[in-house]
Amino acid sequence: MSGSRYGFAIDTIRCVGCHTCSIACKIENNLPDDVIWNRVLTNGGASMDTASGTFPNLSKEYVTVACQHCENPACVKVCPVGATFKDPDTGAVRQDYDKCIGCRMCIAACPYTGVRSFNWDEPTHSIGFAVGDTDAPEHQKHTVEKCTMCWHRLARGEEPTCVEACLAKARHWGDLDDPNSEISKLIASREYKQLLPEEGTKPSVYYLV
Amino acid sequence: MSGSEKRSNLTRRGLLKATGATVGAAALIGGGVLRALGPDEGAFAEEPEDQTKCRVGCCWTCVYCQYEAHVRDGKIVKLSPIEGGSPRGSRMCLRGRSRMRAVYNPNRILYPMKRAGERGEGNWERISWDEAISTIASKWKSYREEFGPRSIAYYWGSGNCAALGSGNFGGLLGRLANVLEMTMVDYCTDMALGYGMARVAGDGMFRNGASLIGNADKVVMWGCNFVDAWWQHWWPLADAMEKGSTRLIVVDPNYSTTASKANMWVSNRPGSDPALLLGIMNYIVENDLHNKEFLLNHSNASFLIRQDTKKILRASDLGILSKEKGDSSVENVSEILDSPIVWDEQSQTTVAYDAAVSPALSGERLVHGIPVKTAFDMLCDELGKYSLERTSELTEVSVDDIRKLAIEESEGEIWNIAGYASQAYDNGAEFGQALATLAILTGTVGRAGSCVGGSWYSFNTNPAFMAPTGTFVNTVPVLSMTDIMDSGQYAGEDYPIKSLFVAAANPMSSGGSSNEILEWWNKIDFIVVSDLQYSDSVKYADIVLPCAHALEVEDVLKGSYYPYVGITEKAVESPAEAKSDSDIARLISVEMGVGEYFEKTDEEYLRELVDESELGLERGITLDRLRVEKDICYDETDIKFYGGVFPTETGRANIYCETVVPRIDWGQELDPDFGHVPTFSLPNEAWPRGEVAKKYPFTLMSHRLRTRWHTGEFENEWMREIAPEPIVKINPSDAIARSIEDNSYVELFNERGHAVVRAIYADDIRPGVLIYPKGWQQCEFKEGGFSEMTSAHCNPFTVNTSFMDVAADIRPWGQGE
Amino acid sequence: MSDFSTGAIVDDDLDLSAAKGRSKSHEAVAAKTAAWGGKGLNAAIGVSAVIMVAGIVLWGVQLSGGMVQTGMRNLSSWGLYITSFMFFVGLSAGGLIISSVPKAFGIAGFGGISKVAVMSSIACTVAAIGMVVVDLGQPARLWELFAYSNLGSPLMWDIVVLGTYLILSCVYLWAQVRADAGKVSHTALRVISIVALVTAVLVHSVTAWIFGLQQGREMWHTALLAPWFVSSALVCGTALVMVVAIALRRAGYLSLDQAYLVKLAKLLGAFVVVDLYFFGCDLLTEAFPGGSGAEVVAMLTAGPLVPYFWTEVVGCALCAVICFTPALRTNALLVAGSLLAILGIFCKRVQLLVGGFQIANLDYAGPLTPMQHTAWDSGLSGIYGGMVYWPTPLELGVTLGVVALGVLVFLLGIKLLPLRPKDDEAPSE
Repeated sequence: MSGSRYGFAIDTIRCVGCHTCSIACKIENNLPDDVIWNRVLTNGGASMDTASGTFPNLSKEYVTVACQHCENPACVKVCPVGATFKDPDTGAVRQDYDKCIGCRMCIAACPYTGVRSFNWDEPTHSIGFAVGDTDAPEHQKHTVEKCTMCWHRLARGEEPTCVEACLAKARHWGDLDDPNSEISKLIASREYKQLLPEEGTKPSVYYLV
Repeated sequence: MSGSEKRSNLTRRGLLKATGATVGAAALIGGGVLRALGPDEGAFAEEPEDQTKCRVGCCWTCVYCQYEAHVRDGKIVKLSPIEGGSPRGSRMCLRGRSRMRAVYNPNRILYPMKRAGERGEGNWERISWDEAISTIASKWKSYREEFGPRSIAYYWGSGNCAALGSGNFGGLLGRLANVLEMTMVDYCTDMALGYGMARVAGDGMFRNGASLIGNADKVVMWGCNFVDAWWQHWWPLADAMEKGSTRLIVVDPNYSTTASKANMWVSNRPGSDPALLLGIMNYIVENDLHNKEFLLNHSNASFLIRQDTKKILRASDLGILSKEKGDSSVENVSEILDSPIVWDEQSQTTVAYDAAVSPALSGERLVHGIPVKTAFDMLCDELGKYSLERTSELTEVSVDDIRKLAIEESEGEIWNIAGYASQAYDNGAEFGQALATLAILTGTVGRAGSCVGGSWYSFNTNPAFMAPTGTFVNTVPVLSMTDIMDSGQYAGEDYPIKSLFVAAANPMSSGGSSNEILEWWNKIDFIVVSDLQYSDSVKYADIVLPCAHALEVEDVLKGSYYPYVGITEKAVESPAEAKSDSDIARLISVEMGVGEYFEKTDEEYLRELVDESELGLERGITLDRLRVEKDICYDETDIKFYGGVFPTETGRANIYCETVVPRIDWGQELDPDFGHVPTFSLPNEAWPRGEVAKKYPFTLMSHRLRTRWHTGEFENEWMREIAPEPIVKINPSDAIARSIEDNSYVELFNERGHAVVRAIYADDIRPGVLIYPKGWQQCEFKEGGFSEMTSAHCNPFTVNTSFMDVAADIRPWGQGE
Repeated sequence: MSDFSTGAIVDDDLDLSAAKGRSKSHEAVAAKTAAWGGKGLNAAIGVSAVIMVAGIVLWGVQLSGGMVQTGMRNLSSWGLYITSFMFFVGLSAGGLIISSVPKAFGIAGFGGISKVAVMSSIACTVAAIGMVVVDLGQPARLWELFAYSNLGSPLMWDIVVLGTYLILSCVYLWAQVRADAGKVSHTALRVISIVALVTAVLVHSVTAWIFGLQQGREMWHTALLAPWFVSSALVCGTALVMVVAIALRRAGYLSLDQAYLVKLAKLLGAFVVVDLYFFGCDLLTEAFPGGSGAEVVAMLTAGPLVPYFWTEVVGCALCAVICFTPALRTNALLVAGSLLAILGIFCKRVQLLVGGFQIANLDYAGPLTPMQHTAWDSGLSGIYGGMVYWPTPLELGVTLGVVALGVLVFLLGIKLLPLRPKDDEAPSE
């Protein structure tokens, strides 16, 4: 059985930083309060939603950053109990909350600042009940978590929530190993950049520019 | 966290079981094949057994997106896109996705409350609905008896604009207001654009359907940060820009996110947009780039204007009687009564406008002793004052850029889209008028690739629903309330207002100059506010009524940015004692003795509203169909003013507006010569060389907060993770000059009030401008609030709140006087 | 208390000829010296025990109330515990290396303080392991480390090596005690000491690799880190042994010829020089290209980590000066210099740990929540403008508890085990 190698292509020309993907992810996965797996970052000034440059010569783009589901993940190498692992069927880097001993070695190893989140406290949900899908994994105190590529959705043939949610139709997802997939064609035809390629982790997220 | 949810932990050992096929009807993206989980792993292709789904929609005057609500254990657990896509093409945003927070807000108002203590103290006593309604009714009855029905005022906003919602003066509460002949307080918000454009087009003007945007060679956005405010426009435009068919031009003082996507961005002085448009139009005319054919056939450009009265020269002026309809005995006379007259080049005579073979666009002459000029001449007289140099001086845009813009605006298919920023100055109506005139001048309206205006569609429900007794409210602008409450007079008569009822609105936060609003509020004896959350307005109420959330009521989405009418189903029951707007209206109506007009069920009223509306009858759109089909298109053409036909007297656009009437008339003194053609007048206070600027040098503008709809549903903790507190963005050069550090607390202030917020260095902000995200409530500030500083200045024609026409200053917090 | 600094000459532990003859008297002495110490020691043991228990209680508070009570958050996810972990591994490795090198190479040692040194090393190992345990989010799942071990993980390597090292240190200590009694052959002892030496070097190299192999953190990712950790370990380990030896001699627990201390001091000085040399190499390599590495150097020399940088450099330099200047090699100054060196190495650990998080790889602005950083509401400049991490009192308390555990282990060893140099007699109380 051959596995697929799923990845994301995010069009930064189309992305307007609306945060819908971020919130959709949060709700779908019933994220605890103050936990954000998919952050919308501003590549501009020092604060959110500001531009770089001097008026009126300015530029600004939005970069949405979650786990890059690397092909050569630094985190998988260092987890002492294998709680972080690369799923052979999808290429997603997944997290087994039951196994995680909370050593946070993966956070230290991952070059992508902030994509991993540790539940420093008992997960709380200020809305008062669980939202999202029933099959999204439960959150545990004192374990590390991050984007799961909505693996629970992939398992029933749906695409990750953030891809479906994008207002601008800027997010694409598919099998990077399939040359005929939409994402492969996009990567072949469009210019793109990746985050921290020099780290050698081979991220599976491509930012179309 | 609920203990009853079923969860399956997908651990590594929760392996996929090989079936080799995709599961269910879900679309498969990317060509990969995933195997389904076995049933014991809790997977589901359709809605899981313990979960139901229904079709709902947002009811704010945002985009009215439709999507699915998923309900499990009686709770809405997810709001997600419609599988296969929404028929109307909209894509729900983060606000829609997180909308259930307002339903389950722990601070939600669940019971009727009565004020215990002084207004604004925040001490409440829970009361029963019986007590609430009987208190309201008894007070209202006594006010009506002593002061007349108009002593009860009704203020609505855009909180719920579905058919039975109270927003935009609708629903049973609106009907009640008409039946009881209340005073309707016009919220004077975002009205200038439509009003100004109506001088030209007879009505407000709007863009074509978003799917047609690729037909435009270019889209020019005026004061419109649509990727934050109207993000539904974006993906079709992004598609068109990707294909290379369409370019984006943005006119905005600041480098908004929309500007960052544009092919060309022009930063102009805030409030100078009318001048910019006039300069552009002048250039177009001077360089012979205007569309003469369109002007002659679709506008009143050729109409002769009497120079003595400034009125259109008509048949009666020439002693000609107009033809009665069907009377073929008189030649060369218009179908309409007393038709406007033009000069026909071919026959070298005056003729009725629609009988002219080659009407003259220009020319001063004497006709029957009356000096006349064409409307076009009248326009050009004004335009001539706006040379490139003068325009550059007024707008602070370079001569080069004005020229570039002018050339752009004169070529090809153009969508000129206006946001609500440019109209938010004292000269806002002139902006609308100028923009509309530009489109007429260049003939860029009425085609798939050309249109001008804001963004709106309305499925007009049956108007008979609103006035079952044939009586109506009397409209009073909110901007006059200070005067009315001070003097007890309006439009020359005594006008006592004793009570105020607020629904689907938050005037204390969304209105202009909240301290001033509070002053006139405090002169009203009895205030009732219906709301879900403890807004700034609720804070100052005497009685608070807990209203239902739109997700708890079946209703019809009648307004939108798409020509669709849709259903929004009831997802969950209202909690505790919350009641729908309809039920609130019913309860009050019974006590007020007019219950007979409110006896039908919601379902029956929806049929009355929809089935019996003009469009409903024409196209067979019924509630039953809506319940099944969920979303129905009622205008496939989707092109506004198709063919260049306008809802005016002559069916043509008026580049010369003969009769300029104020938006609301209370007998105010008006300049009779003003407004015939677009002109430029200075903003009220936001102008660098004005008097106010000496004390308050910054223009204080606002922008949309992506996490809120106005002030709606502000207690959304998920949204607060993204935007935790109010901020103001300031250009670093301005900040440094005032010793303000990045991310530090500052005090924004002017004569009317102040706000303490975090200052954020932002190079994208034009020097001299401060911009804040609107929608924050007073309780969310360290001190004060943005709404304290906005202005209640009332332009006598426009009668609109000039939200951006605000001057302010800024200093580090704690610096004091 | 007698001053043994110029008096007794103690045999080199490997002088076989005297061993047999003295074995019986040794046993007698050993029996007596095994239970040494009076009220002072007991009091110290009591205090350590109390602090340790308090630490355990606080650890319980940490687990139940959540690690949100620490100063760590997503953007600075390791803190005082891992810093101390590094530090104690260093102390322990150093102590053991000092004690095993002479035996391994069959050369004159440091006057028989080897057993005490190994005891201190064991105590530090226990403390190090304790630090890792209190840092874990789910300590109850510790067993998984052995059930699901990912043998490719440097953390796993460290667990294995640390565990092996602890056992080995105990074996080594036992072997030395037995060798004193003539029960273990010198060859066997030598073999064990070689193994101990190698393991000690390995332990700190592996600890270094936890950090040094992470390409994502520029400050950590250098091949030099393992040798550097070893040199730092030698510095603080030797310094610790120096302090302990002088203290115990002053307490009358053992006698030690000053010459041995001088030897130790010279070694310490040499280690400091090597360590500073490595530091210099690293700084130059980072700074020279003027690229991203310059940021790391700036952070140390002019940024939030300035105090820790200069304390180390100045402290260690002073230590070296004291060690190399005969006139300055008084007991007091030797202790002071050693303490400075230990402090300096602790500062090094702080530089490394905090420094790894002080510079973000992705510093684009985005939403910040309390889970990401304690100073989340002051923006990125607020977070990264000062030290990106600072411990809370809870962390200090728990750390102190673990330190107390280590001290307790050591003091119990001093009290209950025959750790004295072979020919020392117990002075009267």
